[in-house]
Amino acid sequence: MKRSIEVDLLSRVEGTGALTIRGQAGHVEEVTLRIMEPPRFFEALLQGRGWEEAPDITARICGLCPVAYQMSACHAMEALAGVEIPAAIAALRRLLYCGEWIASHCAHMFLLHLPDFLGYPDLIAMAREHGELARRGLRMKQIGNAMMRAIGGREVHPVNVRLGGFYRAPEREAVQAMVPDLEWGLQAAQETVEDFARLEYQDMERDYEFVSLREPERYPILGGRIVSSGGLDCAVYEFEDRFEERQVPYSTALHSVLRGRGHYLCGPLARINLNFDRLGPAALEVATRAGFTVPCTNPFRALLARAIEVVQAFDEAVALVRDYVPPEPAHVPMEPRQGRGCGATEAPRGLLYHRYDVAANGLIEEARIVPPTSQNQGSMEDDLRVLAPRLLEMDDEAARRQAEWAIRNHDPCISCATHFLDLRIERA
Amino acid sequence: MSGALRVVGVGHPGGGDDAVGLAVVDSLRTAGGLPPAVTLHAVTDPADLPPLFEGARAVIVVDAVQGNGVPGELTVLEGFPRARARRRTVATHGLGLEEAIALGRTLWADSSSPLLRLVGIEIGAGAHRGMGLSAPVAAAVEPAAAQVCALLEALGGAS
Repeated sequence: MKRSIEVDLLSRVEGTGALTIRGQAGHVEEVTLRIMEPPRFFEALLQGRGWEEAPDITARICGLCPVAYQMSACHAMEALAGVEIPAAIAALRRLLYCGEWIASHCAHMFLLHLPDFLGYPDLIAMAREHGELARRGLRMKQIGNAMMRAIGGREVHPVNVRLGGFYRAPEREAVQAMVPDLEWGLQAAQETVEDFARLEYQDMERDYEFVSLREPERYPILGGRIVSSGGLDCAVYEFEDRFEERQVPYSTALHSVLRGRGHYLCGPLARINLNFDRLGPAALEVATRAGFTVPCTNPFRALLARAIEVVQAFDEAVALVRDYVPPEPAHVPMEPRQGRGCGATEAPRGLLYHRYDVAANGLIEEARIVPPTSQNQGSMEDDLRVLAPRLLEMDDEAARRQAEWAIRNHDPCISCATHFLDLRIERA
Repeated sequence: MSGALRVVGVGHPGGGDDAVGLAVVDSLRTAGGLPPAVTLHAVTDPADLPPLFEGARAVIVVDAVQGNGVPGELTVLEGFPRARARRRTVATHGLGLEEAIALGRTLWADSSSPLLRLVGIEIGAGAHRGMGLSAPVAAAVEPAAAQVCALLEALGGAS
């Protein structure tokens, strides 16, 4: 019998999306993940604005990963200007970014994704039975928020980032005051990996092409080359030669593909697969203890990958805070230059690419922003195609829960993904 | 009665009228004179709210609301009655206010659940989202602060 499973409003994801699966046992006709968030036109909004405004304007695309937008914008403009960022400023940026990873990952893991694994309909129901886990997760997230406040000026949409560095470097004492919380957080993150390793993971293997940045020596956050499990290895400025965004009729977000190859996956699972050898000793040790090995192609185990990344972020943060000396000056002066600048960093959800064409007077002529959720949208649909025969055998409520769980594996931020619309007006 | 009385302003400091809850807490802080049992808190991410229920006798949350009222109109709620849920608070991102309060009560409250009062300031359907507060919402800051003081007195916490 032919069945249609409709999830009209996806819960526990950021933004508004819906899902349709149509088919019958043994034959899946249609799987569409529809993103219905209104288009936000950020790229158009940037046209005619000063190049120095890009970090603050793009930060408003997302309340969960504003630092990622600020950093990708800064990298693009700094590449255009040919500016080298001193190590002390780069270290402070990395510390701020660690705060965002911690806050964002902990929000997703504990508040949104964990109820799926523990069999609860929502966070509150889970918290009644697993109070210690929920309290731990919230405290870890609060530490991430506190890092954003201390360095960025506030936890949502920080205001201290500018091209070339920061408006003001925080005092050494204020930063080092975070050490006790960060040490507690590192231990809590390690316990979390061990707890998550004991969860039951569904069997599902996928043939993803993983894509992430790869830094020369460290786990990728702030730069490096773009690499893939299929052998891609290119500079950030080559992104648009290698990747293509396509519009699909049912979604306000674009779908990204690797030219000539198809869908791919970015985010924690991709990063850890491509950079396992770049994990620091604390993350590597806990990953080994948890039995997490690469290649790992089970999307449900992205929860574990994310938890290992939280250990990585806390571990790096402890070291960065201990070594912190306020950069002087806090930013490198920059003059606008005509041309094109490209930048990419690793947002919590994956690769975030920015490109700006800037006029000689410093005004932005064109902007292009490719967020991770639109890059992952095709792979999320492919996951659902693999799951669809199983879903079509379930009752509607069980199928909805299972489908949402599969989408949450990739922590989609739908608001980030919808800022472009190919607007066509047909007049008689 | 023992236990802290916590006044929590919720909002985004760069969110125009959404910041009114923070402005009310600022106003109370500037006025001073609150007894030691009363503590003032400013929260932008609602995920920072739940731990404030620990050891609290009462929690007063001050936030912007969008309903059908006139901008600046005050509403005081005792908890989140289902019938009033449509008069929703304007959360910034992620965890919603109602969920954050439920989490606080579930995870941090003692066996005697703390009293909850919500002071909502109407910001209107077309709320101002630029810098600072719009005139009608700014005019509601002092009345809202006075309302909080009246609640504190009723709860036995004002001097």
